[in-house]
Amino acid sequence: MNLILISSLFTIVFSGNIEQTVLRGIPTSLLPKYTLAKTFLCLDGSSTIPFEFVNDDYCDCRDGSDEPGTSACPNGRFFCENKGYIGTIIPSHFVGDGVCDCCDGTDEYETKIVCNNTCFELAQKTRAEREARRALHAAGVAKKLEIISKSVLIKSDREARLRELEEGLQKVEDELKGKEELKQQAEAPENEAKDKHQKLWEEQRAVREAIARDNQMHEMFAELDANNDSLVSIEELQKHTELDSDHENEFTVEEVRLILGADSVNFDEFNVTVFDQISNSYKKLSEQSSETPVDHADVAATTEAQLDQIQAEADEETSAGEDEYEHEEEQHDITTPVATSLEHEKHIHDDTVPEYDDETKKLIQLADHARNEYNEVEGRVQDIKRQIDDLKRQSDVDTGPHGEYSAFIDQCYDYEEREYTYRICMFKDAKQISKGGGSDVTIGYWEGWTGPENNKYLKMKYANGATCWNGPARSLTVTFQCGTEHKPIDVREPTRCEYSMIFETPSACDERIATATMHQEHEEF
Amino acid sequence: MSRFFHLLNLIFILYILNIPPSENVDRNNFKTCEQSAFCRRQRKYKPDISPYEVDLRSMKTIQSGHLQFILHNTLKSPIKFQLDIFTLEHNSLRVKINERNPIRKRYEVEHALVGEPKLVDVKLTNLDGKQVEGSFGKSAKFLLNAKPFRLDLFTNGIFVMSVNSKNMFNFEHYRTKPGTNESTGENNTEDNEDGMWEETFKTHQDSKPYGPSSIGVDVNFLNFENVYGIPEHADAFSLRSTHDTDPYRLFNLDIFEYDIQNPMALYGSVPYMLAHNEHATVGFFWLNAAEGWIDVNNDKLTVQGFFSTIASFFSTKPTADKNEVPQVSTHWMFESGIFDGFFFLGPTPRDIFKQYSVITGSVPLPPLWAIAYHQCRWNYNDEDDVRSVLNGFEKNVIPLDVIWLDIEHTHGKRYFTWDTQKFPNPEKLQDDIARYGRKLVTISDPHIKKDDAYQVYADAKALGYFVKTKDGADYEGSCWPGASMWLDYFNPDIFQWYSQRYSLENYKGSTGNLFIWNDMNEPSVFNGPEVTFPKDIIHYGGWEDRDVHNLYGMLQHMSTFQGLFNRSNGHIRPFILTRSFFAGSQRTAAVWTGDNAAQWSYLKIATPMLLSLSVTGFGFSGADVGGFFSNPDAKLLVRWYQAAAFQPFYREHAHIDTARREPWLFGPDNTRLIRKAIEQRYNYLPYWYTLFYKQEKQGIPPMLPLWANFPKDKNVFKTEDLFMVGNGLLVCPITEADTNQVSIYFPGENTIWYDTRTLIQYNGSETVLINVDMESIPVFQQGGVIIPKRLRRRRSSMLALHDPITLVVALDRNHEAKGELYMDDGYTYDYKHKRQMIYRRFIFRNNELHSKTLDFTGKFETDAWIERILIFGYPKNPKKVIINSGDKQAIPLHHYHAESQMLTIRRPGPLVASDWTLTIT
Repeated sequence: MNLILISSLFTIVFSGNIEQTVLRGIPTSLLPKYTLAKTFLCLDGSSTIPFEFVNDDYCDCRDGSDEPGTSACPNGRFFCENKGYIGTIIPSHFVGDGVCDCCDGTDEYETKIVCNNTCFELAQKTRAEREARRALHAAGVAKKLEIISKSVLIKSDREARLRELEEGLQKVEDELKGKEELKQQAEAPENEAKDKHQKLWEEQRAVREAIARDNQMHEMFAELDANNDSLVSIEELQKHTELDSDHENEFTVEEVRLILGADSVNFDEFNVTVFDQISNSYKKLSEQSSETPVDHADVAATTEAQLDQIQAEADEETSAGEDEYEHEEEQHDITTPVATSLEHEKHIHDDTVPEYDDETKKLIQLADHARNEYNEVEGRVQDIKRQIDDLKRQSDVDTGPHGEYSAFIDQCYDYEEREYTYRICMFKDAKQISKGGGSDVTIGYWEGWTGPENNKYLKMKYANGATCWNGPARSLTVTFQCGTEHKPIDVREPTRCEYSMIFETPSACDERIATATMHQEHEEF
Repeated sequence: MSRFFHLLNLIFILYILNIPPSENVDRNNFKTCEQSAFCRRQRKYKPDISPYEVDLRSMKTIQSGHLQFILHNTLKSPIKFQLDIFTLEHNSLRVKINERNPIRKRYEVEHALVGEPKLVDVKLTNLDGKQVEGSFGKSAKFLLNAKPFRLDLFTNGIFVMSVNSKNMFNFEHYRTKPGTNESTGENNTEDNEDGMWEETFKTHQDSKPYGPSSIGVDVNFLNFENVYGIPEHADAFSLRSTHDTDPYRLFNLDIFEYDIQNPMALYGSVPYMLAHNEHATVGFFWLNAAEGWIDVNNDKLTVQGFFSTIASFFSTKPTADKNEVPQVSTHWMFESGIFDGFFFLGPTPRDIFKQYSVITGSVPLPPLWAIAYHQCRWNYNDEDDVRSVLNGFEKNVIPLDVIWLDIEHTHGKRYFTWDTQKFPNPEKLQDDIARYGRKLVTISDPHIKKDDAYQVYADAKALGYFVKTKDGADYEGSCWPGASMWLDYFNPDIFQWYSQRYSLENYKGSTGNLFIWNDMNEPSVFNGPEVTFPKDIIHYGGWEDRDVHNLYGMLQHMSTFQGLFNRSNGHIRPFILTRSFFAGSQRTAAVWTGDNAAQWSYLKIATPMLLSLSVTGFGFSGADVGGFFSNPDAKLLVRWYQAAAFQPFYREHAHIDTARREPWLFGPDNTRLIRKAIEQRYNYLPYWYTLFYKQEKQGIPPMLPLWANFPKDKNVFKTEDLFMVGNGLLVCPITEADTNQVSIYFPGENTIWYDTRTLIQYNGSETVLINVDMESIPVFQQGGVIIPKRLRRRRSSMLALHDPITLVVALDRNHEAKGELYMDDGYTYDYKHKRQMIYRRFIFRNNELHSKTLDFTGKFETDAWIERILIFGYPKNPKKVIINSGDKQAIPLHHYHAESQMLTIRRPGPLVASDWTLTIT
């Protein structure tokens, strides 16, 4: 008691700057707790203080409840009555700081600045904003409901279609089985004929190669046998230094003998022991000295003539019953002169398989037909399966509890900015497309809905995009807000490589806002 | 904010090679002493006997306090030097040595000094024709020895400094190039050493048309073991011996991702060194703006020969057996200019701060908001982004005074312009920011984009305002905007013209609530040698960059200051932050330690770096909270906020590639911890502001090494993990991730220290293990000091201007305490011109607390009142407390907490501006 008296005395002496307005800043609902009494119980119950301490510009309660009307407590709460508008609670540290925070200016009761009462204007403005907002949400909700009902239809359509497709698939798969049998039946004789053709060709080719070897050998032997004694001697071979395996030193008699296996060899011996040893390295003497250039044209002519002959012989060997087929021009159209027998041999290897005979062709035709029919049916199977997968994928996408976001399925949207176009393909990926050329950068792949627990569909995230140099993988967070159309309205990069997009869509409009009546708002004012 | 284009190249290369980028600076981009020809020459100059002699007969008294002598190099007799000795007020001495008849005038630094130093009389005694002794000031004395030249300095009769006692004085006079027509017979091979007439570093050639011109000198601190200063280096506070490293380098450079714990040059240069021991604090300042290198060596001086004759002058008797005293010998080398040395003879730390500030000026009282909290980022992208950050502070109830815009706010790095897509309405934005008393700072770098459509460029180009190459063309280099040019602020017309770019008329979109950040002003030139100007480019007056390099950044921010000053017709205090600086920069700009990194080691090094800046005049300095490069984890960020809350310039800043790190992005608990740290800063603002006022008046920086307050406590001469704010707070930043305990040595004898959180008392001269948690870093209030605080919460400092004050009275062993409080309007010069200020002294003695004015002319009107008095260390619950003011009396309530010995006086009530006495019985 004594203390209170003294405190009051002091207030009289020193205050001057502080007007005792005990009930300042207290919301109407709390007024009963501040009834004039001897003591005041801090609202958190932490302590009891003399009632004179309420709003005496000194903080006594831990919860700041003794100073709702002053800035003394760091955690106090000041009630702006705001007649004509809504009563609001502001932190009490806004009181007396020279900034008008309440529209009625009551937070600045003791400062020199004059706060205009803006509550009426504010109420009007707020009302207009609310109405605009409500109208926007109403318009949006109408579209959203369309989307939802469409979504239901789409969903049942999708399910019906799925059933249809699955039934269809069964039928087509059965059909495919039939076609497969037909295909196999047609392919058996085809393969047989083809094999036969191939075998014949291989035999022909073996003969050709043997002839070529023989020709070459004869030619070589004749050339080596300089003295025409039907023997190739050491001396004769020794001239061919290109055959010396250790090119550095002389091509010695011993080395030559090693090749010949004797002092001289006749044609048969040459055939058996020598030819294969030297055929790859061998060069004509005339080629080794440039003085006697080879007449390429002659060689070519000769070779061509020989080949024709061989072919003719081969043709005779084939069954007389088979139709002769014309030699295809390119097979013999030797455009570059054949310089040596070796190259000639290569030419033979390059030969391609000759055309099939008519019988085989007919079989192939039949088989092709069966195959095409099979493939066509198989294509249909795959197509149906893909459609089923697509439909299943679509029904797996989380488009909201009522399918609010179903309109996004398979849709892409662009946002144009100074340097880039940002393209978001919903439930798939997002890209940054440079306007100055350069490749697109994927800034994220669909990850999921990431809104807060009570509003999961407020945000979606695309993650694991292209990695920034020395940084994280790019990502995009999309925040939805109510609008009458689907469109991105802003893209930013608040932190390097972490993009954020604001996207307007009717899907984010709120029925509760749309249906809030003016009457209800009036009550709040 | 630095970042240079080499990075872009590097990024590309590293990208290809898939090599992670190095954490460290590429040292190959910067010279070693060995790669700097003059440093190489001077560092090896160690003759047994100095060839320099003073001709004492030549002595002339130019005026009282100014003596002039002729100095010879006996090996090069025709060359004469002039030695001028000026005895200055405040126990200071200036010595100039210049060529008497140089073939080319040597550069003498302009702009750094606050004015012409005032001379005082000197009493001369000519000792036997070999020496001249001069006594001046309170207790200062010099002794000039003639043969060889040597200068000894004494304070209070104690021998403290000696110049050329190691014979390293070596003055390279200007000469003609050997082999040219004008060359005289004097030339010999020694004039044609490698690097004298040209020098190549990497691909850059320095043409050196004037040949060698460097000066070296040894300055030795006798009987000292610790020297400090010569910022800027990311190194220890007590400078380390450079015996096994390069010398400390002074050359303003943009070092990308600078390393710590080394003597490499950084963004600013202050050629000023202090030495301290338990007997004296002294300082040596060589006014020279060229490239400099300084060797530091802790060695012993053998007291024999000459020194034995003055042995009695040593503060400590040489040990009987060895005749040795410790000394710190330093070797200073500058590439050009003259010798212009200032010797500050203390003898106390306070004297030293005063003496240096008398010569180069002190930090003027900043606007109150400038010492509050700043939020910066490269970049806040657009107006919406700025607004959403501001809203974040509101929503999370965190006070904020300043928000910043880095280079991306401009139209293609054309300063004085806006990217109008992102900032369509900058005036409106600034008005909105100003609603809560807040300010906007925009960046304005010195490189001017080469673009004829850019008005600033086109005008400057037409006027011939750009720095020139040696051949007279406009020098072109590369920086943020690509091809750029640089204004030649050395020309007074250009200085003036640039300052006018800041007028509201010229700087479209600026308002009176916009202030300036000058970055990249070393200057940073991406394709220049060592990322700066070539040394042979030409500034106003024909001076090469070689002569004036370290002044460039200062001239830019001085001109900026002039611009902001003129913008309000000298009514409103400007605020400028600069990265580059020189001695004298403190008069017009705050500095920060540039592009640090989000690592614990950079948080740790911030303290010694800021202490080095503080003791050399830069009391308004800070380090980027959180670290500029890369991402701090929550713990590091919280610890950084806690430490920086007690460092003078308090700004969060981050590189463009980092994740967002606004205070509320690390979860509710970390938000709470960061809020708490920032609020602590705001709580102590009345104290900080008072300290800044004292700094303007007395040159005492607010952030101090422990020895500044406890000069006789030998245990704290190397301390760099603790620091003090004024003489009241001892602060221990926590610089390791998992710290549960720290060992703290409490300085002083018979002192008491109160843990500001727990009120636990600790005794001076004791080392104690203190428990640490994440709530705060350990901060202790010294018994005997009264600290004014504001405990109310506000959205910004300017909104709290007239809020009531809480006095925290921490009693010493005699139950006494004192403190001060300074207040004014927080932003104008009315405190100077109209005495719109309050300066109070509080004294607690004999159970009475008195409030008296320290400045009777002060008349700032405020209804701020004393809301609460907390008395720490009060022994018992008093019966009664009475407060008297004039003829009024009141009996406020009090509450005593016995366990913590804290007495709370509730609502004592007097206006801050009034005299009053509180009596406790």
